[in-house]
Amino acid sequence: MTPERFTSLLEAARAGNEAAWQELYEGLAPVVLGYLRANASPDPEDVLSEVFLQAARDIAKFDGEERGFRSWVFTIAHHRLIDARRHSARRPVELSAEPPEPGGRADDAADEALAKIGAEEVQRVLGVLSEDQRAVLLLRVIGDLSIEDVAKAVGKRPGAVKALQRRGLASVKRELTRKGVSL
Amino acid sequence: MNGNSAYEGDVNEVALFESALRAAVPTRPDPRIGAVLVPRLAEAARIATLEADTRPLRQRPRSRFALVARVGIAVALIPLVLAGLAFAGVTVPSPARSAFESVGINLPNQPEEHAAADEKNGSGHGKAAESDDATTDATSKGKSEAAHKHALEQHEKAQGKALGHEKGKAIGLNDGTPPGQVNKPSHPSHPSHPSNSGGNSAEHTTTLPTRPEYTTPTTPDKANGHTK
Repeated sequence: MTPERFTSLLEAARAGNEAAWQELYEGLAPVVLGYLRANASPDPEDVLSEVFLQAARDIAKFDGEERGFRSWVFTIAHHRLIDARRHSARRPVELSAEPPEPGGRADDAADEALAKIGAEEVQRVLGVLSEDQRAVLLLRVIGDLSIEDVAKAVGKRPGAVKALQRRGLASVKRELTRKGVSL
Repeated sequence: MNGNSAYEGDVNEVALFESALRAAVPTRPDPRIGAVLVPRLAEAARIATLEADTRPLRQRPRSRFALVARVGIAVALIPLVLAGLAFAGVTVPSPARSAFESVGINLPNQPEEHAAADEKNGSGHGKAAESDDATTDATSKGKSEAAHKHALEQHEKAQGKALGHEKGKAIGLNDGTPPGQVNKPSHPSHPSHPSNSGGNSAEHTTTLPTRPEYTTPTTPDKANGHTK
């Protein structure tokens, strides 16, 4: 999407245009929902609705380009995820029972990789990571955010985010090697 | 994952996992959620934008009202603070006291003579200064008399103790009087008037008796005489 196109889309969304919101929702909802599910969010679809409602309430304050908007929505999603976890603190945390459905963003290489590793294996490896490591890796890979944007979203310094990412990837590699997945 | 990562090597090693993650994690939400949610999002955004546009207009009168309210509260607190000080025993300045009296409130713990002096002298500053001098003299006299009485009491107590000491047995003397002090008491008698009266009035100093001379047997000759 060109910057001009995104700017007009944002203006229309601010004015309350449903078509604009439909486009924004369809572009971001699958990855945000995937992020929430992979992070073992309680009631991920409810949290997704809350994320977009908050984005709609605060869109008058947002000023930036498409990448900044994506980062902003993921920051809201991360905070809402933490809130949802606090509300359901008594319930045991577990990864989503629903198997993830392949989204529309995956290209051929990703499909090949998924065929090699398997969706269940991806979920299992994510379950091995700590909450912080998982959040950082998912924001980096699924959210496609920079180190600085991830640091803002999770409320840590960029150096700490880099360390979490390194340790998370090392754990992923160890798990995959242990299971005999060739890389 | 690329860009500003400090660990490109590690990232490349698990690139396959990242690709699998990208393929596996995104999930399509239930289309019914989108159908219900999107109109609500548009409505919420419209309201939020309207509120953001009208907010600066609404804030002005609110801030003015807040300023007036703050000033009013501060003014109303002044008499309360003064009354509180008066209850606590602080002498409130006479203008403030007169302001209270004009509305029929008499502040507690305020000195009576001040009020009387104020009433007598009216508002003239010269007269007020004279009355201040007079009251100062009166109070200093009163203080002097009280101090004098207190000193007398202390002296009487001290004299009683000294007498008792005289009657008691002095160590090594065996009721005897050391030579050279036959007609003198073992301790110098206290003067009949206090030395620490604290006052400075002349009438007391004129009645003071002279202090008796006292010689202590500290010379070696007298000491020898004592042993003899």
